[in-house]
Amino acid sequence: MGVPTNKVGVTGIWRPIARYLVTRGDACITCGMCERVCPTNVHFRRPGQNKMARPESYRCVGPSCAETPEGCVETCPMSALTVTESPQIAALGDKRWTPELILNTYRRAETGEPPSYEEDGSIGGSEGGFDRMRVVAPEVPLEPIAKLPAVPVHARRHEAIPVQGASPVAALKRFSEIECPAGHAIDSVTEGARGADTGDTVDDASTELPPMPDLGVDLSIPLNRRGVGRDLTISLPIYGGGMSYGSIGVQTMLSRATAAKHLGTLTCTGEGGFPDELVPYADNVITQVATGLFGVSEETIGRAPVVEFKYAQGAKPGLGGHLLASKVNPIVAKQRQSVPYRSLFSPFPFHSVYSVEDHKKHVDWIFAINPAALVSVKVSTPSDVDMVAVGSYYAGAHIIHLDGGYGGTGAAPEIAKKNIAMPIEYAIPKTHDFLSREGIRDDVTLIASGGIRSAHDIAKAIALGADGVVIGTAELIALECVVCRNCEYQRGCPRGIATTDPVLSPFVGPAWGAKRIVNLYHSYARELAHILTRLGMRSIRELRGRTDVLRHLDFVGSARSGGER
Amino acid sequence: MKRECEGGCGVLGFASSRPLPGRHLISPCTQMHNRGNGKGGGIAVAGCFPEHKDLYALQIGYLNPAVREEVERKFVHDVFHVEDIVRQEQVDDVRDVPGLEVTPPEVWRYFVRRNDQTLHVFMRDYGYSDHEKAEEELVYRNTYQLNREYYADVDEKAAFVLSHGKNMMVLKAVSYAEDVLRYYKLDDFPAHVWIGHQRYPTRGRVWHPGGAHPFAGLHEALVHNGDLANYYAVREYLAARKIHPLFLTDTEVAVLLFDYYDRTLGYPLELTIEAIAPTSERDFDLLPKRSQRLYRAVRAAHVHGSPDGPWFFIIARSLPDDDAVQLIGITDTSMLRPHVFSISEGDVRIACVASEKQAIDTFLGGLAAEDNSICPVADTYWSSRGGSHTDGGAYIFTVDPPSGNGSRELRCTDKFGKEVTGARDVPDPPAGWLTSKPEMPPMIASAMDERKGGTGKEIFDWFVREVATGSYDDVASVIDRLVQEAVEDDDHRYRALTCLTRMRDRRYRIAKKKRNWLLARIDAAIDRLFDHCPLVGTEMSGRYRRARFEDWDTDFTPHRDDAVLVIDASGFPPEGDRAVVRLVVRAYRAGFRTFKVYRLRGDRFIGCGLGAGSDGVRIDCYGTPGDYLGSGLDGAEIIVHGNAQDQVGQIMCSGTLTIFGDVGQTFLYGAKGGTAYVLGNTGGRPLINSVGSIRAIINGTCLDYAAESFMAGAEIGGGFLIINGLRVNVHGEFLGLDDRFPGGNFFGLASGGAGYVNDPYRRMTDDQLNGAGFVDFDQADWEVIRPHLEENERLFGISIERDILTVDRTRKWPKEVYRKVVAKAAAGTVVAHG
Repeated sequence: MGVPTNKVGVTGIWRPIARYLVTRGDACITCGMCERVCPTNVHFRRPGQNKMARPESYRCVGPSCAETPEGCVETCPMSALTVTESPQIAALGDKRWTPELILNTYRRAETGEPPSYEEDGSIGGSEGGFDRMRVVAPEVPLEPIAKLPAVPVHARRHEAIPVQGASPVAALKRFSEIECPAGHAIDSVTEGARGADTGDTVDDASTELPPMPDLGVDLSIPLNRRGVGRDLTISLPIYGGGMSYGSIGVQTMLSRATAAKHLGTLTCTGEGGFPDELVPYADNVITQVATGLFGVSEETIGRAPVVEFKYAQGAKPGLGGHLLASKVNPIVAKQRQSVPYRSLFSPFPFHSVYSVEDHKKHVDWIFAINPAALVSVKVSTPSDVDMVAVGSYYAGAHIIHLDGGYGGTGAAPEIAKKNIAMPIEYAIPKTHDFLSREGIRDDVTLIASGGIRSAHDIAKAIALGADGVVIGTAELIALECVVCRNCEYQRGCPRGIATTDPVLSPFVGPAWGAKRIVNLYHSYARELAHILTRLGMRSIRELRGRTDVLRHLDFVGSARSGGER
Repeated sequence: MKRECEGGCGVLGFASSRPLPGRHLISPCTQMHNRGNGKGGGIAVAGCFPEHKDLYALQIGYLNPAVREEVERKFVHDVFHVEDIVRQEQVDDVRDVPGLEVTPPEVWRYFVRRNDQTLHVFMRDYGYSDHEKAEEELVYRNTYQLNREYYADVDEKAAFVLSHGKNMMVLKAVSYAEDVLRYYKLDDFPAHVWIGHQRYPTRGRVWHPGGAHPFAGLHEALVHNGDLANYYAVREYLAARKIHPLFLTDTEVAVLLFDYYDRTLGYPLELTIEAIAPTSERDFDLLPKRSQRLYRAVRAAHVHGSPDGPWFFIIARSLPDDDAVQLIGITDTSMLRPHVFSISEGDVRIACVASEKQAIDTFLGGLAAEDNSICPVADTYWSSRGGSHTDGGAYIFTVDPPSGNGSRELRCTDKFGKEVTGARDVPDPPAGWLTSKPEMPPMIASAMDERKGGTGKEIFDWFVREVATGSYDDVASVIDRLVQEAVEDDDHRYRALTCLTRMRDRRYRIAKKKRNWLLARIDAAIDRLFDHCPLVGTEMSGRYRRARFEDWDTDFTPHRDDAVLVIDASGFPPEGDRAVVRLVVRAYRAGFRTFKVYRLRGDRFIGCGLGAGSDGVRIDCYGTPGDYLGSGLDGAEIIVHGNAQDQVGQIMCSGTLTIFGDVGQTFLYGAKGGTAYVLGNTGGRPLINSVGSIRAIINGTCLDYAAESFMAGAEIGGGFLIINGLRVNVHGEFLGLDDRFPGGNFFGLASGGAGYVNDPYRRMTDDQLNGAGFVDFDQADWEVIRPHLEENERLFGISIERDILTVDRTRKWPKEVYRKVVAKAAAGTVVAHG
């Protein structure tokens, strides 16, 4: 191995997103020296050709390799090669979903492993929220490990954190250095999952879903803690969030559902109905009852293990849903029983629920239809979210799902995402503490969502007091979403993920997609296991509410003496 | 300071021309348990201290009785001249009232009047010249000080003032309202106006008695169902006027607002209501010019204090200057909370207001059981349209000062002073008529004998023709005979049931009789008829089998294919694992297809849980079924012989709903298909967010926001809503309402489907369509709706020819009568018609 590899985003359909751009100048004499020195097969000749092929930039690990004396740039006798940062990186993602996080997620989805190189793959660049927090393991001696290639783009963030001796900051730093277990690097990327060279979507049988690795820790969480009714335990503290049919296509839904079934966790329909294709996966599919009540019927409530009330969406609390006319193609219209190419609205509240006793009635109604269902109540994070949670619990809910404002696809307006309700990292402990004081914390499952991007985010949310998390965007990125935020633009997602367009949506093959999502979850599981091991815990349930393993950078070191940044 | 999270609640208030004892509040409050959580209950009474009606009844609740002497000295004896001191009776042992987790405060009542010296000082210090005003303010400030010193500002809550107004009182506890009645032994305590409140707060363990409703202003007490969305804004508004709430709940803020407008500013009640619930949008434009000017001024001054969001206030107050007492119900301008008003005429005139109709029925039923001159069914039931130009969203029930012989009158008016009455000039039957056994006149007897083999429908037709216009006893004798005959065999039972049900459902001429009394008699007869059915598991022939709550564990396998399961709902809890709905589902799975559920009292979710493809199932509901009736219905048929409540037919997919009465809020919310017929009116937001092919006919009208976000497919062949805008007069005739659709939002944000409004005078205007447009009504439309109107005629007797197409004695074309509304996206270039 020796030199780490950097293979991300390999697919057949889309040109892989490259971190570095390798260019070969006209001076090349096709001597083949570069091919010989390159550890990651950037340079190669196509069979039967003498000329060097165009470099596969996405495999390049960057100047730290290429510009060493042994690297291709230095080795090239004609100085024909250059390695620069790819302009794609600058265009990719945003402060929250940084290019590193996105590439990282691609990689997780490829390999099922946590990334092996240090590039802030767990922390975004928003300088707020989870990005200002670190998980630390104060009691565990930390082994120094070799410094890996730094990432220039985000290096500046570290400048703010002086690394000094054994200061807490250093501990943070070192912890983040060891957070990805070395030795998990994957040498070769399994290509061909989607028929790399044909350009067709191929769901070939080789996409057998990998089994859950034996991690030595217990990551499962029970969802029903009320002591009555049926047990439902998910194997990981993670399940898929609601994305409606219409906002995503059936191929994407199938990918998610297949993965959920394989993993022993759940996914959610969103409010656009329950396509027949999902019926075989019904035991793992949450039926969402949202304000528009699209696709909600006795049948869909009756078959659901969990029924989720979506009172509000963290990304756009207080706003209803609006499916633009252009996205209501005939398939969507049929599923929602409306008119093609006419806008669809979900009102901002449930018009039948204006108070907590209405809510209780609403919950009882679900039990009247499906007595075995668990009820999840998805709310955003208003300042009295703790009382909402307690009220929901007393009304009979099994799961309180707090949806913070960091998530949301491109369909949620920026102004709503960034300006309404309380940040999730405040809402979780507030609710957790209040439920604890009320003496009912162990009778209800608290789930957090909204901008959970990595295993570290999951660990942070749980340490703040949640039992588990819901992810949404991360799953889409596993399906090669590039976070372009054009979900609502014209025909929808250009990559076919968030669209029902009959031409675009087949770009996502369900078996391929399922494998990628399973890999994503597995990589999270591995990393969580690693974190738990480092914290000396045997079960994810031990981590809940352990805020002592968290450090908020605003309060590290001198900041403790009262000065908030 | 943090507000208590205020949930919704169950509220009930009644006013009566004769003082009624507190025990009548117990059953209806118990019926609304599921609207509270036992963490706050309270009652308010007005007109309860006639012997001390000119004295302030300062009521102090002592959580820590040790402070009493100190409090009395500082806040009673030093401030007032005390005429009388009464300790409110209470049960000896708190454990005698099961369910009381927290001991309610010890309540002492001080009947006080001004101490001239104190008042003089107060007037001098604060610049008052009017003695009365100064006295009121003194009482108020004294209470404020006491509440701060012994409650709000201290951790150890010791004492607080429950109320201080004249001739009224408030009692409350961390419990259910009926526990308050029991604990303070108010069973036999008489008063003209009562309100009860079940609270559903969510803020955990810090529930405290001071936070329970009602809250007192000066001479008024207010309960509230809902949540003020702009609590902070209202607080700021009050703070700017130096009014500071102490109990951290929005209800207190509401009563402070009322007190500010009513007492401090001295507004007439109409303007106080306007300040709280401003008339808006189109309704404002339809007000008389003078009111507009006045209201505009009120709004300019007070719009920031106007409570926003879902709320419904019930206020009990005394008017000491007039020796009158009042019950007031005010609803928010968006009509977001369910509420029902009712009025019963008779020797005793009774008005009610409640969150659910079933609570009113329970209350009247309890009264009727004690006093056989009171009818268990009210004359009329209605909802108000918040912020409207028609009734202003508020009704006021005033018990006038006693006349010469000491009796009092109850007046009912809306916000604008327009009087509401039931059937006032129609004679009541003699007391005890409901249970009387009148002889059948020979003429009728022989006519019935002639019809021995006739069907129920034939007997009904004969009854309408020959008997319905006769005396009370004539009608009673026919009803009794039908029930007697019913026990003979299934055919007779079916015949009697068909006839009695039609007698209940249909509107016909009854001449000089009150329909509510007839209904009460018919309902009792139907209950009796069902009571005679053999129990499940009985080895007998016959289709009918009856089940009670006690029969829960019986085997529900039907004994024959056409078996009918009759369920007596009276013993069942309204929801949960042992609710009626679960028994229906169980029996359905066992093979029953026909159900008759009777004695319903707010039982929820009837018809839910049958699953998809329940075609062929029929559920008849007698009584008042509760919320979420048929929500999720997919194939079955549900018939409600009377009024239904809120959230009927939510997400209904297919099947039929027929309602021989009114329906509450959000009827057919998110429905996908099926057909619904409503004889009467619906509450706000019918057919909101409906898609697919839902077809609904509302023969009355609805409050507002009809078919908002309607997305029901094509304009022809998709879903539709027909509003016929009819009412029934005392002769059982269907007449057009002046405003077929009174609201300002029809088809708002709609993107599909069609709306048909029976509007022959073209009164509906474009400004009532929120983003939709009128289009031509053509033959294709008529082809689509005619079959449904025919079914409507069959069900309700509303004739297409006579009641719909004949206008001013002229036969019109359908297109001259109906107007079609479609979504703007469909209307394209919307052409104005009519």
